[in-house]
Amino acid sequence: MTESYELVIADGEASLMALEIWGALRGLETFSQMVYQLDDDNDGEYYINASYVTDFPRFGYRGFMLDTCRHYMPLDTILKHLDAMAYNKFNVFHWHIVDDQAFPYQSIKFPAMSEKGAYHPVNKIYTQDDVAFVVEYARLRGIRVIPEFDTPGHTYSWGKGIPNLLTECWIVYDKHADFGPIHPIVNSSYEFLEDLFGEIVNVFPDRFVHLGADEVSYACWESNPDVQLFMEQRGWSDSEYNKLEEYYQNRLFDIIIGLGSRFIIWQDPIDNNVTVSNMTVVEVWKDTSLWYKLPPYRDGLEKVTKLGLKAVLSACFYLNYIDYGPDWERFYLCEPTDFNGKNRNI
Amino acid sequence: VEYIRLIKHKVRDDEVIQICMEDNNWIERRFSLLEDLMDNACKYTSDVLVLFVFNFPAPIYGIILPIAPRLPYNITEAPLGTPWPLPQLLDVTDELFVLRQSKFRFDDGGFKCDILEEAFTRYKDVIFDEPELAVHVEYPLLKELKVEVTGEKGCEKYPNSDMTESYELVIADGEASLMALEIWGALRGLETFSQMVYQLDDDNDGEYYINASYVTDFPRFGYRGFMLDTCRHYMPLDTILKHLDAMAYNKFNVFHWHIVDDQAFPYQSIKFPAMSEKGAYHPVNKIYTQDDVAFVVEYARLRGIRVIPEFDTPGHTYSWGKGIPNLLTECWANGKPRQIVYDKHADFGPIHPIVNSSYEFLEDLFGEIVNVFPDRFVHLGADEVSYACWESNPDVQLFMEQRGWSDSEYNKLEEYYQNRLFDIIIGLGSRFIIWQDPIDNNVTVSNMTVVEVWKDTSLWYKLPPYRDGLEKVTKLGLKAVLSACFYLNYIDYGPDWERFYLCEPTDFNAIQGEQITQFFKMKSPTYHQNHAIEALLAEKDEFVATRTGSGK
Repeated sequence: MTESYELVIADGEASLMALEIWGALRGLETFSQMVYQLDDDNDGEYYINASYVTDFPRFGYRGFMLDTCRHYMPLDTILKHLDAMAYNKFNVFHWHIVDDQAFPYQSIKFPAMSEKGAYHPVNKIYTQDDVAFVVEYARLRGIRVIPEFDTPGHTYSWGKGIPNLLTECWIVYDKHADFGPIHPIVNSSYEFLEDLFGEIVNVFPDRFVHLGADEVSYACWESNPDVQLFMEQRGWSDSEYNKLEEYYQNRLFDIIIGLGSRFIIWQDPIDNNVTVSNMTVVEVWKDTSLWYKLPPYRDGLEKVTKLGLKAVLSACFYLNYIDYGPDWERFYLCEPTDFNGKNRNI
Repeated sequence: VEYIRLIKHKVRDDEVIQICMEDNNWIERRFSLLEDLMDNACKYTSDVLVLFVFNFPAPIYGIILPIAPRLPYNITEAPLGTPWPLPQLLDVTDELFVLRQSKFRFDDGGFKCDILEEAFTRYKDVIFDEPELAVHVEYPLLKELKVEVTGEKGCEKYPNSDMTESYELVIADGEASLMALEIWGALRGLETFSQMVYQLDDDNDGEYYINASYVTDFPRFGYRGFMLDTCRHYMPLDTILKHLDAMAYNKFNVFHWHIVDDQAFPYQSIKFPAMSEKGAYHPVNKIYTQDDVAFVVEYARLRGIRVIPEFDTPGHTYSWGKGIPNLLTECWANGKPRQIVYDKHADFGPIHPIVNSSYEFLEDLFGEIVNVFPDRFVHLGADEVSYACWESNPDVQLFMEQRGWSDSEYNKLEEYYQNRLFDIIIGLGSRFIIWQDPIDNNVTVSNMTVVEVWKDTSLWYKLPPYRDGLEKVTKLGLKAVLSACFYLNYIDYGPDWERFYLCEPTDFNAIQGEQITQFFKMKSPTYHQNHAIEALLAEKDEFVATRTGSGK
């Protein structure tokens, strides 16, 4: 979408022009901020200055991610976030709706997933009505809603409602839990994924879904004898579990493409040398500022764009790392284009 | 705990100290920041605390591990229905009873008291928060809880500094009884009872259970407070009421309302309406009307919570000067009044201590305050009085000369102000709490003063440890309130409850034979974000409450 607009306030006549409805929304937001009252004026008169404004965004994807899994967020809170996003001209609501700890999304096809997987099967779920409400509220503000259903890791809660979905780990405390990532070696996993994502792409109107794909721990796969056998049959050695990850990801990508959708993934598969479809958008989340062992984000951006893929940068914007005192500077000073690459595809 | 003593090492800017326990010994290693800590880690297991000590120049970037825990914590969970904070004595058996909303009642045994009746209604809703769907008949039904307030004081009106909050709770043989000397103990007991009723996690029928149990409880400290700063960020009534609920759940009994300060004056005074008109962030939308205040006091009263307002003087009063001209000291520079000198003083300073009009005003204002807030105590603040403005004012200098006080004796002027104010408060029949600053400035205070210790090295390296403050105050024979290690507003990423939990109020050198009546207080977050505050409070309240509300 094109979000540019032109705003003229002159001679008692004001006009807002935009190519697309989305630019009109951005322009209305700007206009609303340009109307003001004086601090010491108790009569509350509203003023605006004759002005001229031309505006367009530097980046086409300006997103905000909410994790509604680790802490269930009431609808009210989500809607307030959408309002705040609109005030600041954000245009993508990245809804990290489910994860290891809970599955609050009430699926039409698989109701057991929220029944068994949510913190509470009635009070801590997002019904289809809730989701529709959010999508509509966002739509009216020119905000896309991109849900993230993160696999194959981050799926512990999925296994509560869908038995036999996750790899069984032969337990070694300190390495993995009793269940691991989605079991990559059986067709039932992919049939389930096709069913689930078939529903998801209908429920969420945006062309894109976020597939996650981060932090896949190989330890559980390594412990499972069936997986080991699968690896042997394919001729993959014990140090080539990234090939299994690649196998899973590409089968999933085929499903999504088959459903007519596009997808975003976190940078982890790229870091694991997994080959991905050239339609993939990759989100760079790692940065040394988050953990000293992580590479700087510019390395991630360089790698992704060198492969000719589009990148989304979130690494330096982890607002959840709260701190005492004014901490806005380090977010403000993060410059997305600050990396080496001819193809600044972010 | 031992390792806290190790923190006092000097750490160079380019190094990290790693402290961990190996084979029951504390081992300390130093690394250059360039080295890989994790590869040099001690024999790490998840049971052991590993401490890293380092200096970072500001701005501070946190070192944080990825947030994808896929390992189950190696912990033992408390059984369902375990109350928080843990009572002094809790004896829970395996014998189960069930409760039905339609077939359960609280019985007051004929003792009519508004606080109790309200509590019955409230706790019924708290306990039975979900409709029960189906009914099992395997366990006997608990039909009522008999509540008995045995003491002479009977149905008191307001919670106070002398109240007795002990109670005894027996749940046995289909008959449950709660006994307390005073109505306040009954409230604490009802809270405990409500926490002991539980539903099973995997029981979709929602049946309510309670175990046959015996509980004896009383607080370790009589003053368990929570301070809210409603000045720096105006807090809607709604938020304050939620805080009071959270406090009641955790058996806090003092709401320390830091209602006004430098930045804003939201308290709408009857006698001095100009103070909020000119001094509040907004004269209509960001004030606390008399109705608001009364609502808060009543809401707290029904929960056995005292409301102690803080009107901090003579410093922290910039907003007061907006509505009361000539109240504050004018600061001088270059031979002119009302001059801002960055790094020294603003255009106005603390309340002008050398004129009678100041004390007449204070008598008027506090005359109103002690009527509006029913508690016997008010908090007078008295912290961080900067002498710079007083030093710059020629009238003040003259006053000092006339008294024979030298330029290094401004604490005597502070003493003069404080004691005139104390006389006013005492004359009004009230008692007062102050921050520790006057004591630190060698100001002599009335022996009825309660002193709140807020300074600690953990807040700023230049501050003394809190135990020094406690020692000093109690040595003077004064009662102390400790809040220094409970600054919840110093937010942080990740689980930070431990440092609050590990703060031990009695950990200082007390005089032998002295009756140490210890109190403590927590300072609230000043950043206002409704949900974040609730979550933060819910976690932190609980941990601090455990440590202080019951035995160690």
